[in-house]
Amino acid sequence: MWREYALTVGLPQTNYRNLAEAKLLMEACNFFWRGLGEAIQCPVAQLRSAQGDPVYATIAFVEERFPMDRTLQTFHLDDRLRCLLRIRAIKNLATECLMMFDREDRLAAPLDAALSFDGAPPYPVVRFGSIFAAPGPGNGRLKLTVPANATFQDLAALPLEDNPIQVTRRAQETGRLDVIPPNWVSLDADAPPEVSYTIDPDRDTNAAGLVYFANYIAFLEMGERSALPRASAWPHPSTSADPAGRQLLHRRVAYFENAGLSDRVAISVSRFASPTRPDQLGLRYQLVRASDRKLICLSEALMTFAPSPQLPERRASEPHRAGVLP
Amino acid sequence: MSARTSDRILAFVQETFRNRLDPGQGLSSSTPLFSSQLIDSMGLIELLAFLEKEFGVSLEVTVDELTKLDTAANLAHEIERLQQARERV
Repeated sequence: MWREYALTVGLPQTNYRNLAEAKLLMEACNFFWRGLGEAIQCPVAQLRSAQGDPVYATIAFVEERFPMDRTLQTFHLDDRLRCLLRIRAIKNLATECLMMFDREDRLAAPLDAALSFDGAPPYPVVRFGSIFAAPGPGNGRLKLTVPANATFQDLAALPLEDNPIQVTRRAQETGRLDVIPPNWVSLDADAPPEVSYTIDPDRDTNAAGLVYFANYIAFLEMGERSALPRASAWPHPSTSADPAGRQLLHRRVAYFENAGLSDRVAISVSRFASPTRPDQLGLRYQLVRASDRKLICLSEALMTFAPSPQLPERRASEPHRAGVLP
Repeated sequence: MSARTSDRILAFVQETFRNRLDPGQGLSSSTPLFSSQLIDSMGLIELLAFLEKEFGVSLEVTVDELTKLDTAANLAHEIERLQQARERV
């Protein structure tokens, strides 16, 4: 069953490069929780264990795919987006949300027509994997618990073997997320340096008192901006390209544990490329919790520096949209 | 309870969650698996996938069931009960 939500792109959803990745994920996850709550007939924030303790729906996996002509940068202020969500569940243990979206003038067909395509969707896709858990001591391991006050039988079944949670488990074992083609070559002559960030509890947390999953994108982007202009072991155009022109094609994020509110995180980013694809760059991000040096988040991304065919040139006469009054 | 079923479960747990075991920690059919947090929420999904594939059974997951099925021995007992119930149908 597909659920539909509308989103108009406004200043809160953007940055200087148009639709902002972290902000898109916040909106998409909000739709996820709304849809899930409707399906299980209980708001997600009110889920409780049999003992009456809070049960949290934690994000363990995120995946984003953007066709070349529909990257984040091609979505502008006032674009009205149609967001189609499908939610599946593994019993009352875990859920998956798949969200396809596009401008309503490009996704205007009846739902059946919009969903009729062969191979990869022609629209941007965001996918979440969430697991129900209770907070363990110090944001460590997820304590096993299941919600007892909601029914999941109306949700389609998510396969036990093939689901986002298994992707995260495999990533924890292998250190890989299979976004970067295996034959791509490292651009780094040495181990990548770390970029450090101190958690801002007022900005980075949510109502559960935890560092919000979408804010991890901002941490990864910090590492990304530091990594891109680094000298490379062999010539690659990405080292001299304007970082503002980078466009995300595919990202996976695996969340293993969380950072504490007074913690620091260290991000290191390794770069990979192929001599036959000078327009693309692969990035692997490792985010370590400074308090115990534990790897708490792994991400891989595929970026392009080629201009999107849909990215319009700003006209000289076009008024500048200021976010702050002078 | 078949020792073989319990052994197969233990072998899977030992291999899959080896990074969570303390050095030198051994597993027995009476080692708590869930209450000890050896297997957390993510691990439970992997365990359920293994049990379904290996033994062809689907376990109910409630707090009461997880409390009762906290050891390889108890899991093996429940698996064999489900298998026998299926054969009687």
